[in-house]
Amino acid sequence: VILRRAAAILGLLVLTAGNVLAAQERNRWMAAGIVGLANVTQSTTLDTTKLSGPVVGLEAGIRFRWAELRGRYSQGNLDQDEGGEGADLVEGELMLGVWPVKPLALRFGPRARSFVTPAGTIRWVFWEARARFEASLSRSASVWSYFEGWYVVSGSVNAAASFDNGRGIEGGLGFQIPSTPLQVRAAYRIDRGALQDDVRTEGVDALMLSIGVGR
Amino acid sequence: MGRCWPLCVAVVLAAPPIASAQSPSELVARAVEAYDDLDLATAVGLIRRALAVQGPETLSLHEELRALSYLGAAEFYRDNQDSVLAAFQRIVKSDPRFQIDDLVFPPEVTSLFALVRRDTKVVRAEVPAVDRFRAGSERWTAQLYASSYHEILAAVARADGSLLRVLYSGLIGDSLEIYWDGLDSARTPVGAGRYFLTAQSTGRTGNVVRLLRVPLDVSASEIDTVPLPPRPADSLFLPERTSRGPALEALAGGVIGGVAVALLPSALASDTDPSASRFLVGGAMTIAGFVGFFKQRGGQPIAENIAANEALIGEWRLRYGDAARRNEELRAQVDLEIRAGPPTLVDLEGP
Repeated sequence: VILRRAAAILGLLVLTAGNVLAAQERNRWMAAGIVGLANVTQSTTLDTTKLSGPVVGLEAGIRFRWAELRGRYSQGNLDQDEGGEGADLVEGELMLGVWPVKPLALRFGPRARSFVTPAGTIRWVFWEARARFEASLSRSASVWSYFEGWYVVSGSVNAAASFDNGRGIEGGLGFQIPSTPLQVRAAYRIDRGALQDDVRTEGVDALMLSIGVGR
Repeated sequence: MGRCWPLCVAVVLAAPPIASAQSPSELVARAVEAYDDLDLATAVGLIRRALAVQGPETLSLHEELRALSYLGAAEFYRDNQDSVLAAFQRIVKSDPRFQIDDLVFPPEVTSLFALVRRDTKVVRAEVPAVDRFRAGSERWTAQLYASSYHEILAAVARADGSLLRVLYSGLIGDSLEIYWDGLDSARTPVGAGRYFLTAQSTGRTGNVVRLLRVPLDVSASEIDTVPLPPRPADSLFLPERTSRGPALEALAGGVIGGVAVALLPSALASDTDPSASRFLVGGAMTIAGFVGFFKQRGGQPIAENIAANEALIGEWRLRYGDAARRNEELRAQVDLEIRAGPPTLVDLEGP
């Protein structure tokens, strides 16, 4: 199922790429470090657990004309708000994207998330289709905003119940310091994954600040 | 009888041809003999017959003038004053410098001819059949010969008769050399076409009595001018005022994105408790969107683009001016070829 859906999404991306404007923006790249504050809400039919804590990570991307490849990795140690046992949050993603028109990117790729607790590790794997709208807020394009939404086309989790659905959004502001490659970005993201019949849902939202370089 | 036929045919074929009509030259020769024999009527008749002949056998100018001399002299002795005047005037108009032979004709005839010549104001032009010269720096030369001392106006005229360039205005004695540099009165090289060299002879009363016209067919050499640089294409000019597009993009990207970030999480994950930081980010996006909109709203002058466009157009104007000046120099170096046609004399004096 995953492979079929992935093939369909990739085919859609390739078809879209075939119709993109011949010369999109110049090639771009970026690499940044991430610091953030994550809040996790885990709900089961029995109870709800909330955890929060700082996360750090790295992200990098390269864009060649209309095609791009981006990756992100973050991890953090979260504490339970009510004083219980904490958990380690480890998350990574790799997205392949195209820019059919200037402000719009379509992305597809896997994202994996693990909650590591003394009792065990819960590992989610999402195959996501994303749409990202990016707008320049200044003439020199040194300030921009973006909004990205995604839907999990397929997923799995190492639990007794099977994966049911997942979605998320992310939005933020970016700023490139003039005449330098330095970039600063502030963003908010939230996503939710659910198992069959909502026997377990998991929502993660995070305020992130990334500082890096890019063109 | 039958044996006589071959003999008759032989006699007919051997006989000299019957004399055809005499040529004008022969008529003049016979007229001169008649004049010498004082058979003036015969001389006049023969000369008039000779002068009336047209076509390839017509008299040459020299023969014609000589015949007219005899005609005038014969009419003089026949006391036909009008005919004398007509013959002598015709000589003067044909060749203002012609002199009748004072060894042949008596003084009373030569002096009368001199009087007619003095009173018949006319000029003749000698021009090269073909001449080539560079307009402005070289010149075309014509020689004018006058019958007597009088005032003339020599000019180059267009085909419609309007004056193109006055070459000389004043008195002429025996002869005069006039020049034309191929320019019109505005000092511009003339174009190809038909023009006329004109010489107006003024009579004693101040009226123009005769007009000499020599057709001039002028051809101008091709001028290799440099092409004028075209105005820079519109696509090369930068927009001098901001458009609405970027402003709307900022508004949509900032405000809509900000609102979505602030409001969507609750709907997206209702069983989660989204943190308040979404309002911080969404608010910042919204504010930034508004700021971007107002800073980029249409109609704002873009100073750097205006300066770049002015530099572009200024550089084009410089190149255009250089090319235009160069072309003016090249156009001033036109090579002209002038082919002169047969002159015509218009007699403006009443009969």
